[in-house]
Amino acid sequence: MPNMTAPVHSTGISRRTFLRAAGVCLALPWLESGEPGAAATAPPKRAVFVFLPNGVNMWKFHPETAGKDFALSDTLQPLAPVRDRLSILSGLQHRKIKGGHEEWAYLLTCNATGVGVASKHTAVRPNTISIDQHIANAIGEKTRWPSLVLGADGGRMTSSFDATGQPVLADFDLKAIFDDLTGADPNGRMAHRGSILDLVADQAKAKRAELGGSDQRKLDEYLDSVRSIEKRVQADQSFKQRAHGAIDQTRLHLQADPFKDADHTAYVDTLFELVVLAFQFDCTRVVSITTTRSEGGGPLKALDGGKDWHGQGHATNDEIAEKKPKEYAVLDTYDRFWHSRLTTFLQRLAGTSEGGQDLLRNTAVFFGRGMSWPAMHRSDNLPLILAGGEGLGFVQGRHLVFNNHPPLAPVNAAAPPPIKLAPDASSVSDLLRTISERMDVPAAGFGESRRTLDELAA
Amino acid sequence: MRSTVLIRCALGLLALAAVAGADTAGDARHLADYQRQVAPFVQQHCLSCHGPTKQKAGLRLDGPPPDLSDLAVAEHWLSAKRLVAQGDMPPTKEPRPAASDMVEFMAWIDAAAVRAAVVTRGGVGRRALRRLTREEYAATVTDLLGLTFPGAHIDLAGRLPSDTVPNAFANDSNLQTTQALQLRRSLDLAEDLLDIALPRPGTIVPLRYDIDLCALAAKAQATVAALPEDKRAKAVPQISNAAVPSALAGAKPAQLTVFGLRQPATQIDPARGVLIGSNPVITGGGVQGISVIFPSAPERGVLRLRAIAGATAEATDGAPRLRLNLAEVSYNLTGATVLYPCAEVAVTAPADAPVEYVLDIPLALINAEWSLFRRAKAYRVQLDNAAAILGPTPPPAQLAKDAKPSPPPRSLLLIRSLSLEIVAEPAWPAGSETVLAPPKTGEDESAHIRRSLIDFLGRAFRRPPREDETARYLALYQTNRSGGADLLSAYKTTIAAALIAPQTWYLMERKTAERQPLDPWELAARLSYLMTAGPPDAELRAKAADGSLKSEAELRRQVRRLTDHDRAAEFCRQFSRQWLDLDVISHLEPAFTSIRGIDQGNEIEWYERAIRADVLEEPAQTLLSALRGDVPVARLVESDQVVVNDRMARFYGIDGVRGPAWRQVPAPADRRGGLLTASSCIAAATGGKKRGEIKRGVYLARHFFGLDIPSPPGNADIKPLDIQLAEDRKLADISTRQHVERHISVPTCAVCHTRTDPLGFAWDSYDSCGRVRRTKDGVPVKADTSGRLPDSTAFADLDALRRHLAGDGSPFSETFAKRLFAYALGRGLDHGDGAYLKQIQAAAAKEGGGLRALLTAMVLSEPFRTK
Repeated sequence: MPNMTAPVHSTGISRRTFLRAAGVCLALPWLESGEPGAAATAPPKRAVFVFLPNGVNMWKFHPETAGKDFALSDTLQPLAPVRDRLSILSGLQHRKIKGGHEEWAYLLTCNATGVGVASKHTAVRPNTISIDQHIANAIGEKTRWPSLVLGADGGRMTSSFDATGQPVLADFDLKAIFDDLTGADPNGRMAHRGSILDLVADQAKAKRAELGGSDQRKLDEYLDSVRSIEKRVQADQSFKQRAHGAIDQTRLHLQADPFKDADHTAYVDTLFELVVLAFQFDCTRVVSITTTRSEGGGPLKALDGGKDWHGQGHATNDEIAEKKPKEYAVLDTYDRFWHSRLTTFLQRLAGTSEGGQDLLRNTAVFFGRGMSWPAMHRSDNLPLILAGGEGLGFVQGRHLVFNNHPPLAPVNAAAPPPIKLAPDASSVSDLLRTISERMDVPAAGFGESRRTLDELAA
Repeated sequence: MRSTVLIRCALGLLALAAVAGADTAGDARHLADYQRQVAPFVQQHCLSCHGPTKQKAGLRLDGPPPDLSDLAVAEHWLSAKRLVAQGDMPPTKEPRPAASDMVEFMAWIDAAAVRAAVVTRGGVGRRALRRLTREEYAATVTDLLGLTFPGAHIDLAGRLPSDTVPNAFANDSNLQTTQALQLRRSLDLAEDLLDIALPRPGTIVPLRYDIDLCALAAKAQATVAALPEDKRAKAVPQISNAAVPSALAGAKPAQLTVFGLRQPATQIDPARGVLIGSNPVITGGGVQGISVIFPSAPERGVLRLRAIAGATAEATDGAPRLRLNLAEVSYNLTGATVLYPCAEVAVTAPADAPVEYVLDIPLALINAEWSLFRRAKAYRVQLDNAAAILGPTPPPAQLAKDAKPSPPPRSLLLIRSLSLEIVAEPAWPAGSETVLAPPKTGEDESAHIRRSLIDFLGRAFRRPPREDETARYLALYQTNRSGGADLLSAYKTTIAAALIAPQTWYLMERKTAERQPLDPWELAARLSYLMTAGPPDAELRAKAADGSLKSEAELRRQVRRLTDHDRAAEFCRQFSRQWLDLDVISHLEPAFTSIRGIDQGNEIEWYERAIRADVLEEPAQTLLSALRGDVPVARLVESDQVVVNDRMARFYGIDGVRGPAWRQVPAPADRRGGLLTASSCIAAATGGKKRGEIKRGVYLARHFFGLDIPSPPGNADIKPLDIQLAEDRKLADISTRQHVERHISVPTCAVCHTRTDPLGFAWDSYDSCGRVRRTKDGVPVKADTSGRLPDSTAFADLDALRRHLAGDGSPFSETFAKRLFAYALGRGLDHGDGAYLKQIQAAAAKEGGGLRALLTAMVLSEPFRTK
């Protein structure tokens, strides 16, 4: 059954206007006031990995010139307010992976082995660990939650995979995430959770002995889940002990429905806002967001500028812009939509202070798409943006060109063919590994990586 | 990261060795056989394309002996075996392997699969520990807590993470996993529901307003009558901000307003009450309804509406829907309003003999913007008529080009009187004796709780709890109690634990090394989750308790009984939704409700949702009707009947169907009966595309012919069809049909597409929503629906395809039986299941070959009754 509980907008006034008036404050924990001496220690290093669906209008994405003095190209204009806090990356791609529909599932794993084997079980198998989970495995113990895995589709539509290649389910329920985050616990349940989990773990262990080997395998998943919730409960409870401050709820539209056209902006902004909160509360230091799938139905589709985004991408046929003005115009709408949302997110991070610095400074933000030229789902010269993380050593405000990727010549021809990669070419794996290592988590051997991209920090 | 894969293979072998235990000699032989039978074969025939240098289709077959207990590895090797068996591999241009080599190669893979089955599910033909799906879990918890919310728009399963597995049923125990997020959200849900079932005393403030609309109407009429004569002619009766006294002492009055009526003089009727037009109306109108502003903003408890209501009957319209919404107070009624629809009921009683309708809304589960209500310390309960029925598409002959058709007359919803109540708890905790038994006189607390727990655990675990289990729960209760918790909260904590306990979460079946019959409790659970998608009811539990369920006669009786169970519809819903991949319908882009010439603008949302829900429901109801009527499976495609309710009838352009009940009626002239021309299947197949022939072909091949079509290879060096075609400079000169035919000319695609593409035009007379395609002038498009079956037999049109599907050795019936069997068993079909299926079909044929006979034979089959 479709979700019949979502509100009906019976007339024209936008839900956003309506909700903006809804600012209320809640008493909630606040890191800075809550942790004595927090300012004295160095702020934690963090990373956000954002998957964006589909390709872009490649004619309008990468800046024309490299270096510090680059001008933001057309669809990047919404990023102008945060231009100096980010870098546009050209010429990076996976080494072996060619285009396709499963790009969301390998963007963060860089695993070419299983690509294209559309398996019944997960989108890409055998998959391998994604970079966010790799980092979470190393530093997740330090925070309430090892990582936060989000996405409007939710469930198995996720870019995060654990060490065995299994998908880590993405959470989509804004209200529930918010309650978890803030430890709101309005019904006072946390106190009992420990004893409930003890009991069911006992029961599972007792049952385990009665089951055959094959079923023990299944039951172990249950036991692992119980243990992971137990850890969370303990972390959440100790979090609750801390002092309370105020949280501004005006930016949170927890009822926003990603399937509703009018709510798209509110949903994405709220999702990002929850990430800001998660960092403020130091709930986690690693986040992955699989915004939405590229193909077919699903949430966050249909902006005012045009529908069937994916199909329009195909329909451009990667021709010169003049030949397919309507199709490219639709792509532009989506590209600008996402870039505006990213700007809001980056501004929020930049506008939130922590120990005298802003949050963005200590947060590396990766915005990646797994497709470039959309018509054939090409994956060369991916449209990638790296923002923030200056505290991790990244130098921002540049357009960096890798692998000597030639600028897009304003020629009267369709998309140029992919360049031939040199054997030592840099790849997306190298970029992800660099982020990991800048967070002090070694990642040599990750995906197709051969080196770290030190030029990002020089 | 190849190394990881290798490590996993090695680990798998270790696991294999561990399970096989003493049989190390067998392991050694198995590995030696690999070196002898498989490695040379692979080396000679496969590695040039699927080895270290090339991995066509992402497949690499070198390396150590594969561990087929890894599902992905198994899929690779089993598909390799299948392709070799079919002669599709090695490719025809390559040398053929010797027959004896092929036999050995395939035999080893079979042996490996059998060994893997021992690791993953205890052996071939058995299933792994099965978890409840999210829908089953939600149904189980509500049932255990004795909660029902008829008519309420509450999607409990939707609060849990999705657990769909593409191309398989969510109940496939071999593919299911359990993750922390699922367990955590399930516990949240269980506790939310528990708070509704056992609310803390004193947290719910009772509230009640009884409203006689006839009296208010009379007052409004009297006000008009009292006006000076010159003003009276123009005046209309109004009910605006009428104070409604509380039925309970001490509470403030509520305010009632009737708004938006088009003809107040007749719609406000002292003799009958208030008549409300359908809402939102199709053209040119605002919202109409009744608004009651509560003087407080209760967020907990159950909001109960009792309305004496009826409907005026218009031949062109169906039954009105009495809908209850919550909304903020401070916005004007007909202007900017965000409505939170909470519940609705179809009103079928005639206006001259209205009856009582009741809606129960658990406020805590309503996903509204509560912070706004809280701030205003009040909210509005809005009642309206959400009939959301489509006007008939005007026949083109009667509609001049660009003419605006006038909407058809709509049925009015009459409300004579209503009562709105926040239900407070009765004396003993909150009406839920299902969860907490009332104490008996003379019984001490510990005996009372023990008695109550034993009953609850028995229902939760679907068998009587063992003494040590009960003791563990009692211990939790006692610990909480001695920690200072009162009876209710200590008990609730204990129940919450039971609701996510492994015995509840999984369908636990105690297995031994050998296959054994299920015990009666396990059988009752399998049967009820199959036929009701929920836990066993009292009768099934009784039959399990006295062991009578073991007898075939009793099993037959129970299948028969459950066929008529209310929740049999839920079984049909779950099965049809997953089997036919219908979920996409809720989110397709094209509107199902576009009515030519009628601008529905912003009013369309509710229509869309309502009609999509009905489109989604039609296959389930078709199935249910076939199940209850014991109709042969082939008739699901070859039928001249459609199963519709009033809205679906309007959607199909069928006249004379009134009321929300689903029923069988003759199919309209432009459509056949059954599933093959159901809007749902066509829409799901087309995926919202304008031209979806290729997708449609794949859908028909998969779902109606049962072919296993893999997704297109993402890394193949091929261009999407539309690109390839766009590049064809002669594009303008060739038809869509020719386009699609070129698709097959690409060898990589041809493997599958020669079998699927020629099916795709069979639905050419229907658009992406499954409506009949019409020209701009409204004339049905003349479509060529000919094509070829997957085995290349030509068919002339959709009817011929239908006959093929339903005819001799009906491929559809075959496919359906396989899918149903997999669903019934809660696992993918295994080696050897084919033989059982044959027996099942033979047994069903003896009893008339109906759907119920088929399901009965499945339930009686050995795979269903053993573990």
